[in-house]
Amino acid sequence: MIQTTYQETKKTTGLRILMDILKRHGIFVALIALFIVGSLISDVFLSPRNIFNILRQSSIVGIMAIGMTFVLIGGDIDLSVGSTLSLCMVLAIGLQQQGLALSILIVLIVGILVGLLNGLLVGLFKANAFIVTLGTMSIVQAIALIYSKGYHMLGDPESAFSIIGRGMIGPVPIPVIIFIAFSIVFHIILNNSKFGYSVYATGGNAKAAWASGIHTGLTKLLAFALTGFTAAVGALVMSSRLASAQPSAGQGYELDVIAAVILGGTSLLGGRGSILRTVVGALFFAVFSNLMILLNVAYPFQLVIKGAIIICAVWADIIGRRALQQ
Amino acid sequence: MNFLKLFAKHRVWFILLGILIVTILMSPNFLTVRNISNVLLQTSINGIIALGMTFLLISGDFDLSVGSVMALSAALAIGLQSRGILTACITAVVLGSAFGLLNGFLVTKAKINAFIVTLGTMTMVRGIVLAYTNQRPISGSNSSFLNLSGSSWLGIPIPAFIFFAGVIVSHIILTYNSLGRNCFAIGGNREASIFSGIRVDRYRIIYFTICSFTASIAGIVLASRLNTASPVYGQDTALMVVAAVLLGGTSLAGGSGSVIQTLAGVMIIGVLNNSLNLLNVFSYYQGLIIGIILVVVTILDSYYAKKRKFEAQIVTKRLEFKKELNNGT
Repeated sequence: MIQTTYQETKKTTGLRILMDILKRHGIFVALIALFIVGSLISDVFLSPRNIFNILRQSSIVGIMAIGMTFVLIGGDIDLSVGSTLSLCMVLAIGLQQQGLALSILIVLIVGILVGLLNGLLVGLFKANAFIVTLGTMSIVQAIALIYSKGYHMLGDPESAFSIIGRGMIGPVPIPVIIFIAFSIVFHIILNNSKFGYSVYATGGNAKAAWASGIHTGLTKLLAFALTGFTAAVGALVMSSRLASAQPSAGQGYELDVIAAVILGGTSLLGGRGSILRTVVGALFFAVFSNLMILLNVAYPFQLVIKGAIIICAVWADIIGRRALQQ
Repeated sequence: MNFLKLFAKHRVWFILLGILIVTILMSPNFLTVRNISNVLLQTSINGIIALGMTFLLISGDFDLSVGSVMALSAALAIGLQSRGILTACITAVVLGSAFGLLNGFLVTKAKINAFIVTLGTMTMVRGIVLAYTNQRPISGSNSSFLNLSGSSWLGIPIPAFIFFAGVIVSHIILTYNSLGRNCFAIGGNREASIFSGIRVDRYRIIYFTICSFTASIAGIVLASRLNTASPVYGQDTALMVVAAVLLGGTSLAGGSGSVIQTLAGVMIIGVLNNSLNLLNVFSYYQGLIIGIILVVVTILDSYYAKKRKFEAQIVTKRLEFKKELNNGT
C-alpha cells in the first residue's frame, strides 16, 4: 500500500506539476498570461515607464486591499472603505494649511476611528458586518459632503505633501514603494504574529477560536481598524497625487477593493487568504485596465469585460480547487 | 410583558408608526394627498425590487446587480419605443430577467459566491447600458408612456398599485405556495432541503430570476416617470433595497422574513427621506441620518436575535429537565 503511493508520487511528470501549479495558483498564471498578451499586442506595454505606471495605478486599490484582506479573512466585509477614502481625501486637502505633519496625523486618526467604529459595531455589538458598514458608508460619505460642502477641493500642488503621490525615489514612484512596504509588513503580521493567527482562526471557526482563548471580538475590532488605516493611507496617496479632493471620489472603490482581494483567492466565508495573493489580484486589475486603455477599448466594453473577468477568475479558481480536492 | 413581546415581533411597524407621528407633528405638509401620493410614487420603485430581493434573501442568496438591471430595463423601454410600447416593455422585462437566470446558473451550477457573480453581472450590465445609450440619457418619443406613472386612481399613483399588488401576490406565494415555502426551507437549511427532495438549484435559479424580473419592472416604472432613461440610474439601488429588506427583519443569513415586513422597511426609508425633505434638511444630512438609523436598527436586530437564541436555549433546557424528571419518577 505504502509502496504503491510512493510509486504514484514518483510518476509525477512535468505536465502534472504544471497542472498542479495552474490549479493552486491560477491567478498568478492569469497575471502572467495577461502580461504576455500585453507585450505581444502593444509595443509600449513592457516599457519601464508603463510598468511603473501600472504599479502606481494599482497602488491605491492595493494598499486598501491589504487592510480589506484582514477583514475578509476574519469572515467579515467592510463596505465603508470607499467613503472613508473620500472623507480622508477631503480632510487631507482641507487641513493642508494646518501643517504637513498635523494634517497627515489627523487623516490617519480619522481613518482608524472609522475603522474602530465599524469594528466596535461588528466585533463587540455583533451586528451584521454587511449592513452595518453599509450604514457607516452612508454616514461617512455624508460627513465628507458636509465637511467639503459638496465642493471639489483644490490643494496646493507645490507643497511638500505632493511628494507622497508624485515623488520618485530613483525611477520608482513613492506610492509604489508604500504599496510594496505595506505588502511586506502586513504579510509578516498576517503570517507571523499572534494577531494574524487570531484573524485566520476567527474567520475559520469563530466558536472554536473563542473556545481556544482568542478574543474574537477584539480581533475583528483590530482588523477593521487596520482597514480604516489603509483606507486613510490610500486617501493620502490619492489626494496628494491629484492635489485635490472630491467628496465623492471614493464611490464604488469598496467594490474594486473587495474584487481585488477576492480575485486573489481570499474566501468571502473567511479563514483563507493571503496578502501576496491580494497584491496579485490588485495588479491583475491594474494591468487589465492599462491594456484596455492601450488598446483603445471604449469604456462601456471595458466594464463588460471586467465583469466577465471577475466571474471567470473566481470560477477558474473554484474549478481548480475542486480538482485538487479530488 | 405581552406588549413587549408584541413590540419585539412587530417592531418595524412600531418604528414606522413613530416616524410617522414625529413627521406629522413636525411638518403640516406631510398629511396632504399630494405628498402622500408622492411618497408612494417614490417608494414604489425601490419597493418593487425589494419584493424580489426578499425572496432572494430568505433563500439565503443575494443580488447586487438589481440597479444595473433596472437601468438596462429602463433604457430598453425607452430605446425600443418606436416599435410600440408593449414590445419595448416586454423586451425589457425578458432581457432583464435573463440576467437573473444567468446569475442563478452561475451561483448554483458553477457554485460561485453570489456576491461575486452579481458584482460581475452588475459591472457587465452597466457596461451594456452605457454602450446601448451611448453614455447619455435617452428620451422617448411616445408621450403616452408617461401615463404609466403619471396617472393615478383614487389619488394613489399607478406604480403604487403595482407595488401593493406585488406585495399581496408575493405574500400569498411566500405563505401558501410551494415556491415560497421552499424559499424558507432552502434558506433555513440547504442540505436538509436537498435531502427532503426539494430541487434546490432549480428553485434558487427561479428566485434569482424573480429578483431580476422585479428589477426590470421597476426600470419600466422609473423610465415612464420622465419618459427618459439615464445610463446611471440605480447606482445605489442594490444597497438601498437590501437595507429596506433587512430593516423589515429579513435575515441576511436566510430562512426568515416576510414581504409584509419588507413593506414596512421600504415605507420607513421612503417616509424618512420625504420627511427630511419636508423639514428642509440639507440632503447631505439625510445620508447621515439614514446611516445612523441603519446602524441602530442592525444593532437592535442582533440584540433580539441573541435574545431569541437565549430564550430558545432556556426552553430546550426546561424540556430536557422535564424529561429527566419524568424518567426519574
